[in-house]
This record gives sequence, C-alpha cells and structure tokens, in this order.
Amino acid sequence: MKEKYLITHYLPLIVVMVAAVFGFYIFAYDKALKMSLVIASGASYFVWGLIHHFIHKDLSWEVAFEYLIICLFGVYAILILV
Amino acid sequence: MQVLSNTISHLILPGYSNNQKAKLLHTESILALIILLFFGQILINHFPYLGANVLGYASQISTDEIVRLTNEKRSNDGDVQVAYSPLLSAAAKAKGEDMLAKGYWAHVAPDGTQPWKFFSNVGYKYKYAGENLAKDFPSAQAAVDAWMASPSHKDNLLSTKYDEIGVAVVEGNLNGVDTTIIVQLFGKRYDTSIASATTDASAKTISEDANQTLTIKTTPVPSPTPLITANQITGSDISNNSEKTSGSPTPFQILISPFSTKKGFSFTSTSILLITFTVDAVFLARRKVARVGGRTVAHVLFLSMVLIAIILIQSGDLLPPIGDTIK
Repeated sequence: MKEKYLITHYLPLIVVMVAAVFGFYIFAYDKALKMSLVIASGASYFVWGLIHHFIHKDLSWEVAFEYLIICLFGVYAILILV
Repeated sequence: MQVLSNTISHLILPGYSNNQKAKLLHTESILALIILLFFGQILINHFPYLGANVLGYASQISTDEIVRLTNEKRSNDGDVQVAYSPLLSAAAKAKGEDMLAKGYWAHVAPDGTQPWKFFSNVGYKYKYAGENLAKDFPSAQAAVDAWMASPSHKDNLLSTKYDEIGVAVVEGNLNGVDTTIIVQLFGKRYDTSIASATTDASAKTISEDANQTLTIKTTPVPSPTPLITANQITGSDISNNSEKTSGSPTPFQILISPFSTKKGFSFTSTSILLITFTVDAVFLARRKVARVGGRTVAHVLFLSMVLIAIILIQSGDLLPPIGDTIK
C-alpha cells in the first residue's frame, strides 16, 4: 500500500523528467524549445515539491527554499549551455 | 590529514557537525555553487577582453562532406541533387571571411552588405539564391543534421529551386573567440532558368553556358583538408577551403573552448551534487535518521535529468536561413 502510494506520488515527476530528457534529445538544435523545456521541467519539479510536501503536511519555507535553490541550480547549469 | 578527512566528511557525509546533512547539500552551499557558475561563465565570456585566445570550436569539417551530405538528404527526399559550384564556394568563402573581418554573426553585415553581393562579386548571376549559416559545430554531419532538424533550414536545403551549391568552412577569430563558420550557398543561375523556354539564339547562348556549367561541374572538387583541431592550432595547417585569420597563438596565450569549459563546470558541479545526495541518502537510510527537508529521491531524479541534458547538449549555432529571387 505504501509502495503504491509512493509510486503515484513520484510517477508525475518521473514522467516529466523523462519527457524533458527525450525533448532534449529530439530537439537538440532548437534553442528556444530547449530553453522552454528546461524552464518547464524546473518549474514542474519545484511545484511537485510544494504539492508533495503540502500533502504530507510538512511544507515549510525551508523546504520550499530547498526545492527552489536546487531548481535554480539545475536550470542555470543547463541554460548557460543552451 | 585528520583535518582534511574531517572537512571532506563534513562536506559530503551527514553527521553531527553538519546537522545530519552533508554540508554541500545545504541551501547556502548550493547557492554558492550557483554563484560560482555565474562568475565562471562571466570570466569565460570575458577571456577575449583579457587578451586570452579563446577557442570557440575548432573541428574537422570538410566542405566536400557537407556537399555530399546535402545531396544525400536531397536524394532521400526525392529531390534533384545540387551540383558543386566553385563560384558559389568562392562567394561562400568571401562571405565567411567578411564575417570574421567585420566581426558579425548575421546574414547582413553591420555596414548593410547583403549576402547577395558576394554572389555578384564572383560573377554568379542568379535567379534564386539561398544562404545557410552555422557555427561551432563539431562535425559536418552535426551541422547538416542541425539544418535538417530546423524546418526553415531544411526547406532551404531541400528546395528544388536550386541546382547548385557552394560551401566554405572558415575558421578564425570572431569577436575574440576562435570560431568555425560554415557558409552554405545555394543558387540557380539566371541564364539557365531562361534557357528552358527560349529561341534558338538564346539556346545557343545557353548551350555555351551549359558547357561552362559542365566544365565547372567536372572541375574536381577541391579535396577539403580537415580544419585545424583544437590541439593543433599551431599555424602549421591552413587548407584551401578554410582560413584561419586570427593567426597562431603564442605560447603565452590560453586556448580554451568556452562551450566545453562551461559544459565541464556544469557537469562537474551537477555530478558532485548528485553523488553527494546519493551518498547522503544511503547514510540516512542506514542510520535510520529522520530529517525534515526535501525528498532526496526527487532531488536525485531532477539532477539526473539535468546531468543527462548537459551531456546531450552539443555546441553549434544556426542563423535563420535567407533566400532571394530575381524576377
């Protein structure tokens, strides 16, 4: 039961991340699309974090900031190469 | 030695000293990494102004290969192949050199010079003309693949309006960065187009022109010599099809590739975070420590995506294609 619960929570995040990787592969030379993809996947990860912790009733400013800062790092690490 | 060991474990392992969370994973550490990336990028972008010789991309790209791949794509699409035109190649080379000399990455020069001027400069009178530009691609295949992946470039590349092609691969210093520019020109001669529906008199002219075209076509395509590679820029090799106008670097100059360096920064910092998160998760699971904070699995998933994206990203830049028609 717990495993099923975990999978349903993580599945959307996994789908978004896998889709982003495929997007990067397929649209390797489309600069605008790659930028949109990385921003969208970063935003998805951040929002997923907020929703996930809200459901678990352990959402705090520290947790939100942790997701935000990792999101910013990831997005920036890719954007400087696009 | 003990101090070093303690510092490393403080940075990458959860423990008492870092409140059961590797110091590298604290938000202020990640913020410091972002700042480091930011300033690293600024430093790389400003290397040319500090007198360093910056290598944008030096690669082995042959014009012959680009012509072959272009015709291969046209054949696959059921289109007529384009003939190699030395005149168009001369125009392409002049265009590439002009971009390096005037320091612009655009179809139209800062002084307003249109790409079509290079056609007329070499005496190529066209009915249809087109230009595709690419820079900093690691190979001819990568450049052609990029053109094919872009619908507008693909249209230019596969257009049945054109029957001739000229390509130049020019290497030189573009605004302080050593760059490899590929100029691909397409054309259809004005005279040839008139030929299809004219009188005997003009047919004779066309016949002469056709002979000329035949001569051009049978002229051996200059065997493209590979461009100077990143670690070969010693000023020893300059091919017929490529020009390196920046001259050879002195031993005091630093040769770096901005793209590769930035990719290295991004890859290394992301890998460090990813590994530290994984180690952190393993240690927490073993010690059965409960911690308030984000989900490590989610962070690892996101950072894995970032790492794969960094690996997938290739160098290379395209400009939207351009075409012209004489009525």
